[in-house]
Amino acid sequence: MNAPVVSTRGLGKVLGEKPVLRGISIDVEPGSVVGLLGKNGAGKTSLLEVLLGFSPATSGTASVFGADSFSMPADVKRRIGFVPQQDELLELLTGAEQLALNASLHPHWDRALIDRLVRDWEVPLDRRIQVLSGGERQKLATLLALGHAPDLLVLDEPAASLDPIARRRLLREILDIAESPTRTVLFSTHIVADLERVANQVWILREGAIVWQGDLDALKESVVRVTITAREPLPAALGIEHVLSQRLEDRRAQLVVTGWHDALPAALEDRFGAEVAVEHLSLEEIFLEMHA
Amino acid sequence: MNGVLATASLFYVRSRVQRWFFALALASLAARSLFLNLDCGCSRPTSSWYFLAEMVSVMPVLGFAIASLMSSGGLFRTVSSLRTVYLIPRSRAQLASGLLLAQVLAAALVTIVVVTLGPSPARPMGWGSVRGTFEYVFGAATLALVALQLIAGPSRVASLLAGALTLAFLGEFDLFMQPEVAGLPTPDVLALAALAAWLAFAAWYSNSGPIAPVAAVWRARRALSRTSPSSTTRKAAIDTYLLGHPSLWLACRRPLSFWTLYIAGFGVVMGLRPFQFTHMRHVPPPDFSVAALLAQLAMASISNSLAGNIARQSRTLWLRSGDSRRALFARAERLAWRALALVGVPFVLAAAAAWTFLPHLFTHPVFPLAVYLTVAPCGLYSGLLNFTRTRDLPFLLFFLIVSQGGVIAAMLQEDNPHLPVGGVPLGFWLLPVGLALLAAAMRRIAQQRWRQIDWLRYRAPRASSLGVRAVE
Repeated sequence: MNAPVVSTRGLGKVLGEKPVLRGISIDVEPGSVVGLLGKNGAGKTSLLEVLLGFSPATSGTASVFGADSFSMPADVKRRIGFVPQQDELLELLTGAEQLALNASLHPHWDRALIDRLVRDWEVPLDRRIQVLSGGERQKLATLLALGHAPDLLVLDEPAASLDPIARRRLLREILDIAESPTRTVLFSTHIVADLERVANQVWILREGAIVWQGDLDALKESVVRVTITAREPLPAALGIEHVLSQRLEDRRAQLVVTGWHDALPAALEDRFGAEVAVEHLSLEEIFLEMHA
Repeated sequence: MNGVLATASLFYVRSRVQRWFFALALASLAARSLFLNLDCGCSRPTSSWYFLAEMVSVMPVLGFAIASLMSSGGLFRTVSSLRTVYLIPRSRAQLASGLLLAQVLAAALVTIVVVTLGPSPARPMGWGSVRGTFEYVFGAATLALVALQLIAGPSRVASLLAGALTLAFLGEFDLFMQPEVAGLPTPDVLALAALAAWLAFAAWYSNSGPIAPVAAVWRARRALSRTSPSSTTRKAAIDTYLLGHPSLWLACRRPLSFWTLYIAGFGVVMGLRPFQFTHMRHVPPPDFSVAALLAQLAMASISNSLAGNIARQSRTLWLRSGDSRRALFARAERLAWRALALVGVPFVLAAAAAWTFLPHLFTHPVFPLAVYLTVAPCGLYSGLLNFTRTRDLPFLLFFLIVSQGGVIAAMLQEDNPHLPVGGVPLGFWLLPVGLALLAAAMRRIAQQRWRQIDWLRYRAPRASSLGVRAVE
């Protein structure tokens, strides 16, 4: 088995008095495309920044390619491409100057790839960055992270300012990168459709803690909406485990449960003498239920 | 009415800098009052210690006036430029009224202080009388603020000159000196001129379209380079990221031009002194000492702001350069020193030229030069410790105290052959020595802090415009 690209154990971070990350333990295998999902303020950016060594962990450990995140050596950093949520472009330069600047910092710079992406994504390189639109800046920031062909590409809400066409092009590029078994993509978003389109792994973050991590298909299969329709009024406490949300109206109950398995409907039918209907949810519905 | 009051607060107590200066000014006035009531013989006007205490107590008040007027001018303009404010009915009228109300309140407060603590009025309507003081302060503050609105005007050179001249005149203004002695017009004339200026400003302001924010006007308009280089060296790229500018010269250009114009403005005011005091029996000669001192002082301020910028930009290189935090500090420090040399050498040469060729009252430039040469590294390391996007307030205060100390020491100098080099007693030399030691200690602290930088904590605010913070 390959060593994980990113690994954390009991990772915690406190900013001021507020805990922003709590007990996070994760492993990212090479070749994965991991989507990090969470609502605003859930801790997505904090997690990525701690993983990349911008910020020390308050507790626990974090490593990238086996090196401690906070003191990563140069050869590990060279394998990382990062698109921060707020771009770090130099306002007074043109796009071309900014790209040239970045190219000079890396021993290998894939000029052909960048030229192709500049054409495909229609990035204006002759204008100063300070006059570019939000979407154009985001595209340029993404190009800067791709030019040195990183083994780990980390994107913090990469599509937030992009129009639908540009978003689709960016996601297609991420999919191309993901075709290589050694390259890994980790991106945060609150656009669920993007995540469904490209990610094969998903982490759902709520109030600084990971409430779900694993395969996207497994998540979709394990979280279901169960509707129980009984002949008699149902008890207030149904005694069902792993319930995310529950609505109870006399003889009818609607629950969203995790850890679903095929034997559960029959068990519920036996227990309540009721009809049980099971419905699979979209990722967006799962996300909303988890935050209900 | 609430909008008018909120706008009025913008001018003197809205930002942290204003509140700090306000507290410092009040403390210094209280200390002055206490000092003047002491029965130690030193509170007699003939004592040199009395003169020193007068100077020390007035400096924070002047600092407050200058900092407040300058920052509130920018804040007012920024709030005016917000589209959300523009869309509020009658918002411009409220803002203009707030500007006037703030000056009325400030003048009332200063009048109370001056009438209580200041000298007796020489004339019924003079400085020290209720009406005279109120009209002088109201007139000067309102005129200064209306003039400062030029900062976002169409011409940057004209804006800078207006700002420099306003600052220079404010620097000349002594709260406890009679303005009529300083050549100001009568209080009635000043107040009427201010009201007329405000009315003209309010009429234009209420009827004008969207107003550009200060940042947009100050943004460099010329293209930096006509060609797009296909490659650059690694070292140049790292320096560019650290500075946020493609060249050290460009990074230094804005503070250099600001200080140069400020010093030039001060020089013009000093040069005009003989014409300003023509009504007096004894016409003071032109004196360029303070302009020369300011030239030496500029490098500390510029190196502080550039080093702060470098510290904030360091985040961009954490992954890109591959450097450790320790190596990044070494790079940042080297670059900050290069910036200090770049701005320091021309300013010291300009000061030397001023001391040599222009008339001045102070006899020995060596001691203040030693103070300012040692305060500059303090500014540099204080800047390297400032990872946040706000101004370096602790250094700003420290800088003001030390710089005023240098000016006062220079003023106390005598052309006495028995005194050692610099025309000051030997004990005075402890100040530059102490400053050098402080710089060394700050370097050590900076080194340690950089090893633990938490860039997540020092991220740039999501909305970087001053306007958003101003209306929060």
